[in-house]
Amino acid sequence: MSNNDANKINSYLSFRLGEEIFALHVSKVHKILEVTNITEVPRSPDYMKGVINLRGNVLPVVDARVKFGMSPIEKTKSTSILVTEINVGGEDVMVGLMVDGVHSVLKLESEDLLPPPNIGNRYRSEFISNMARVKDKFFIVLNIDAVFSSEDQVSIKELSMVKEHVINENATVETDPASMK
Amino acid sequence: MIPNFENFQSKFIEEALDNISDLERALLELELSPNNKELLEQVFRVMHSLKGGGAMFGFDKLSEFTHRLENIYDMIRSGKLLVSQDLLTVTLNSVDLLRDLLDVSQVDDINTLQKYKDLTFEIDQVLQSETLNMINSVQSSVGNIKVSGVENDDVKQMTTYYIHFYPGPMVLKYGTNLLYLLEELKSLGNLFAIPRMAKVPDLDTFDSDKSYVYWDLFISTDMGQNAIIDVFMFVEDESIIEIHSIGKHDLFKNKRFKKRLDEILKTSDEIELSDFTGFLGEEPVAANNRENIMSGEALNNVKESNGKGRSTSSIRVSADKLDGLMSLVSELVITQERLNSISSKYQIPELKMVTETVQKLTGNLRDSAFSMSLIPIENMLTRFQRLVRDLSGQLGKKVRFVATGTETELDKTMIDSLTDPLLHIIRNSIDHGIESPEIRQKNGKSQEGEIRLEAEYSGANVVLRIKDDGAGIDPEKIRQKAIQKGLISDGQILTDQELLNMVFLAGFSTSDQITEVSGRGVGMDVVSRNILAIRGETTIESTPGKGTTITITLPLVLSIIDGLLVRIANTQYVIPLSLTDRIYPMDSEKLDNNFLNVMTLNGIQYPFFNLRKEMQINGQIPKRCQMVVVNHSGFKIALSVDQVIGKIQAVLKPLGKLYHSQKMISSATIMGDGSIALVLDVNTFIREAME
Repeated sequence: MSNNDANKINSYLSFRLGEEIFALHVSKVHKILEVTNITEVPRSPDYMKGVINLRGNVLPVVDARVKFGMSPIEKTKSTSILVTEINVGGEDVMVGLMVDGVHSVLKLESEDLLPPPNIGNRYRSEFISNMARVKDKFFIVLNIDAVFSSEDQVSIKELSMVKEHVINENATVETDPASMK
Repeated sequence: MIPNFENFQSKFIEEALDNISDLERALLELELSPNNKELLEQVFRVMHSLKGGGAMFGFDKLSEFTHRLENIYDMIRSGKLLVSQDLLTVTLNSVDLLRDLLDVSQVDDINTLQKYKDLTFEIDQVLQSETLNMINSVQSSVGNIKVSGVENDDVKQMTTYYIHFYPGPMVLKYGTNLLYLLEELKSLGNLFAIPRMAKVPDLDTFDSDKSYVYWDLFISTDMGQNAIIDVFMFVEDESIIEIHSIGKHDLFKNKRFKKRLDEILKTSDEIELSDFTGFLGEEPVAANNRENIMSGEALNNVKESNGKGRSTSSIRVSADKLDGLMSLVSELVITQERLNSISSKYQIPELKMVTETVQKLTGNLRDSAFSMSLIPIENMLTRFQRLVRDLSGQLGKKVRFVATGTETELDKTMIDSLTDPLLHIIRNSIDHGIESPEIRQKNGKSQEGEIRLEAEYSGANVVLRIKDDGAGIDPEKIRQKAIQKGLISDGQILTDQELLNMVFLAGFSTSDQITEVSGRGVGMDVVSRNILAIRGETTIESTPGKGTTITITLPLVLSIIDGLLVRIANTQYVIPLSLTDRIYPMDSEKLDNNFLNVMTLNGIQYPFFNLRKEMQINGQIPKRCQMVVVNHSGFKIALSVDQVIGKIQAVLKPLGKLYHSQKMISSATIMGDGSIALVLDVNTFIREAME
């Protein structure tokens, strides 16, 4: 894959779920759509919102809020679908990720990116690819592949706690070199 | 595409693999009819082209190896060797090796090399022992002169002979001048002599007393074969002399023959008798057939040489191109649906006419595009025959493999994903099903067991049945096993069929011993899962003592179906038209007040399912609904929908991996207006609804 090329780009797309801001590497996001008619598929998991017609192909749409353990999305003007390419079980698939709103495209230099915190087995940190720091604000860069490889819900509470942890850690000590790769 | 060496090479590999498959098939047939000359020729031809192509494209090992094989089959072809069981086994094993040798990644593998060594050794042994036999038998007949072709000495007729004359090294010692000998031959008729210098050594080791040269001679004469034998009278003890009659007339008058001779002279190739079979008036016939031939048949029917008779009735198209065509057709079908909806919206007569014509064309185009990717199941058979042959030999069982309906065609992707499950089923049948010959005899069966593969069309489906006449499966044994594995409780009452179906559960294997062949407990559940993945269905029937039948039902095509478009709440669904039988109107109330789930429609009772309820769709229930009667494994079952909209061509689009748990909806399709309809997998739906 052109992973090397993709990795050289340091742009990230940030989006909002409730009050929380997340980011995805731009190579993962193909396009942003307005919410159109979604055909519901009966008897599927709650977070599976349905399918839409994306240029003659069927694109499954996920309610990111439900997947992250929040109440289902209420459609507003800012609600968008991010067409993302994810890797599930070694296979690249396209998924529509329905979010509360798209924020901005950020340029993040490698020093802004912290490794996912290693805080034992209490929390599942595999969903976090990096912690990003922009002007002393922290937010989570998602490992979207891991999020969709898991059938379970991802707990927004857990993620928030992990974030708190990182904030506290960075407030006291400058990044612990041992936790860096 | 730039024609470069790699391209040619990959083309060669592709062709060689085809050739090897042909070879395998021919060998298996040869086992049944060892005297079939045509098959022998085919085997030889394949080896010959593998040898040549292999050397040309850098597959030296392959070329070297096929050369050995070719030698053997050349001897068989010229009647010096008989087709034996051992020989075929060696050759079939070699076929596997040939495939490995074609695989660049495997060719230097240590296992491959070992296998190569082993097989070369075996082949050499076969060659050696058979050569010994040959020499013995020849000496007992006419000294060293080997004669093939049938001679009728009474009629002095023009005949062309090919003589392979290999003087022994010591002939010169006795004062024979070999050139005089050739002169003498020439006096008999037209002679064409090709001297062979291949064995002449370097000057330092050259011994002037010895003879090194040998000859390939062609002579046409009316003096009869004995006259030729007489010429060699003084050297025959020392030399190897082969005389073959290659034509019952003067072949020197044949331009093609002369041209061929010139070619041989130039290239100094070894002469292969096959090169001249085209000129043979008759096939070389074994001695015991002599009388038949002597009674005199048409002698001058010179056959066209091989290859010329074969015309190109098919061309090779890469699978990518076919897939490309298929997706174009799919898009066309979608666009067609859009055109239809526009046409019915505006109701313009001219537009309507054009739309209908285009619709018809699209339909035809669709059908013919699909038929291109259909392959007869015959293509899979070689592997099965091979498996039956190898495995039954290994297990000391006698098994006959019979296939019927092999012309039945299936989508190529389906064929690909079918092969492994079928191999597994057949393996099971040989290992667990068919009994050993002794037991079979004791049970009053013929010693040889039979495995049948039957294929046939059934409506929009293809049905494959694998039947064996072996021991069958004892339901009681399954019960014990299931209890032991904790799958059912001790007192649970199950019908025999229900017990049988348990073999499809994961981790279930009834064989008492785990054998190398099958019975690792990952058997039938994988089979049925793989079949399900291509929208097929697997069922099993078995009678203890009589045998087992496994039936696989598959849809004909995978990507476009004719469907019935229906609506429930706001969502549109497609029910495959091939499964639908009738449609009846119904009051919704009647569905709710029905506890037996049986509905009488037009005087017939149908079990029914309320799709709205089964799909857990909420919302306002309309006053009137419609019942769609569908066929489900031989039964008719009614499904209630809000409204039937009409007929539609549905291009199936997968729902994607995230919906893999959704079994009732097999796929989706894009409608003319851009909306999406969900395609109902009726069989799975009914099965799940029944549980």
